[in-house]
Amino acid sequence: MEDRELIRRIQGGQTEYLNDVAARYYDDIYYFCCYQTGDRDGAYDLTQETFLRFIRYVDHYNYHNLKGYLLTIAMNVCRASWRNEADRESVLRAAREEQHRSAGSSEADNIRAVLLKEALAELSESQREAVILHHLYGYKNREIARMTGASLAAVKSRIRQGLEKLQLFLEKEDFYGGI
Amino acid sequence: MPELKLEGVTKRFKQKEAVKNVSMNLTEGVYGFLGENGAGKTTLLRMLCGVLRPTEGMITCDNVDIRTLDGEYRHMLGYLPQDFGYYPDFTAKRYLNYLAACKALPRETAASKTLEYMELVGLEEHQNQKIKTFSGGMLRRLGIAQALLNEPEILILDEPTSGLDPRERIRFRNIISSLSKDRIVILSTHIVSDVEYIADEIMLMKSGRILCQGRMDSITKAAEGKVWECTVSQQESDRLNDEFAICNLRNVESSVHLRIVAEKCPVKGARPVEPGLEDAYLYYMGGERE
Amino acid sequence: MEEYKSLTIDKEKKERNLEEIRRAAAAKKVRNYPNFIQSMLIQLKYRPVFMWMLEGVCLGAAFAVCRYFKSWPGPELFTVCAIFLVLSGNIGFAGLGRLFSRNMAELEQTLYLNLKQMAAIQLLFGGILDLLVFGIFVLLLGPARAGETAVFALYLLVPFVWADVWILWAFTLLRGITSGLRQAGTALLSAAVAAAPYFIPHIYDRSCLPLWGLALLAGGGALVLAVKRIFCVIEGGEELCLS
Repeated sequence: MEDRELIRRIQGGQTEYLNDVAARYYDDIYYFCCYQTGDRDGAYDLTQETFLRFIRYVDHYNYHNLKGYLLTIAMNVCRASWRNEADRESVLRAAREEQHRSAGSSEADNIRAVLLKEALAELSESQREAVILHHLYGYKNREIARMTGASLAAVKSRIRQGLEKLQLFLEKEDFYGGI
Repeated sequence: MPELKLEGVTKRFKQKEAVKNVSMNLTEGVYGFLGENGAGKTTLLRMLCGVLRPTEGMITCDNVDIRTLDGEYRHMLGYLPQDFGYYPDFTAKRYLNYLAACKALPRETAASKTLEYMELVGLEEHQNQKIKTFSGGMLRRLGIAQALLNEPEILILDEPTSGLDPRERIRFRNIISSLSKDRIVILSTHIVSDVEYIADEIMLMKSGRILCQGRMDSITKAAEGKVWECTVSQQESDRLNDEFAICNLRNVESSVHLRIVAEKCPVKGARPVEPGLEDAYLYYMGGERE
Repeated sequence: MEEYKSLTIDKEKKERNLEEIRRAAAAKKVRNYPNFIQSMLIQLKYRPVFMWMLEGVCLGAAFAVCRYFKSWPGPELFTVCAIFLVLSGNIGFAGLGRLFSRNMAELEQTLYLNLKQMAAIQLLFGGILDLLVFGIFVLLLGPARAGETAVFALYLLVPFVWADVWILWAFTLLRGITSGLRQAGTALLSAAVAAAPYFIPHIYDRSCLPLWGLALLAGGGALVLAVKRIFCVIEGGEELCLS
């Protein structure tokens, strides 16, 4: 069933379809939260919170681009999860340490994915948002500007600067080549 | 689960003060306002519905003034007025559909909800009958059905059992009891037995004030030691009738069996008994006599 | 991009999240927020059939009036048309009256589509009917009579506006009287208001036009006040309730 039809049914009172929305987009939202905050464990709660918020405000939602809308919520949830800069730094550091400790873990993670996550942590929050939305989720600059509430120029410069930083971090190995 | 708070709510009309400085918190459960006609119950309920505006004080839902909440609050509300209005030429079904639309129920669920609640109150076989042909009891049931249509978190019923015969009254009580989970149910009545069995908390109202508030046992406790039973002669009974509040009077052969509410023993030979809610009601209401 | 999606997601944790979401979904009560147009459509849908019929009859009668009274002398024609317009005004307001009938108002005040909105919509419906009747008269009879269409319109509007003022006031003034009697009384009195100019000599002379102009302005102001008052009454709530 198409997103539009799902939303129509939900707003018509059939709330069971909310679960279909969650099932459809859970992974996408998880990855966003994960890359945005650099915290794989915390990202589960953030994903849940995203969908709970979606449910709370679904009455007023005007269907446009469901995935984009959910990502916007996720973005705000991630922003809100940092109480202050020091907080963010300490969580990121802990996540990084935990990552190194479990280097020999049995999870068949794609090494590029893990490295990208670490690399993204080097960016500022707004650069990270823009880069993730642009390069991981394929949104155009204009859409990103709308979702993040920034100007088009700001988005462009954030993506540019963000990519430069990523390049620096990853240039030891050419992981970034494919983009 | 919303929380309703009344703070210093007062309502003054040109001639009188109908509600005086009422403050209370309401959460999940059934709240019964008990009092005579003119005690201010209806005025209070109307303020809770947003129909009347308090002259002083504030009513908040989850700490937001209900006037600010406006439509959001009305979404959560189900109201059955004492003088329940309807369009006589409408059929029951059309009337409920109309109200469902006015309550902004999503179209897809409106029809199913209408049917569901008609079944709940036992009117589904009359759904295509014009309302003007309904009896008093059927009207009340229709009223309850409409109040429930939007599955409100706050259900307000003003004298819901007036005009119902005993069987309908019991049926109504059962419906209300079954609905009280996850809801605030507020009902007002002057019939003690209405609240005796179903209210979690009872408020006695008189002249716009809440005389006392609490669970049934705490209210009856206040009347402990103030309720007496005795058997006297006819003349004695007449005399006592003038002097005291009589709960119950029964003629047994040539004497009269009385149940009296009084501060002290009203007559020699009267023995104290366990107070019931009706006794406590009389006890509180009788305060004016002195 | 796809390979960056290959970070494994813990199935248990995901399931736990989905369960929590399931719970929230089950508890969710979807609420609708219809806009003004949708509210209007609802009011339109539940209009009783006889109202539509009445309006149809009214319009048909308007045409009939035009046909049969066309040849009548000026003042008589103006009065007849004014009375007719006023009566159709009464019909137009019947919708509003219905909202307040039989204690519905108290209940309607607590519904999402609140009474003020519904009242506004009913006033709108009434206004449309009146506009149509007015249009029929002015377009069909205006040019022929009085030489000037605008003057004819003025002669119709002034009694109409003042009669409306009376009708709106009657809603709240005559609370105790049963609705049938009230409507009849209101109609009669408003017709009397419309007929009043007929009995004032020379009122249809050219020289009195400024008087009519003033009466229109005053009436317009009074009408605005009357409408505002209705909304105030709804807001205040006291007079909605019988006791």
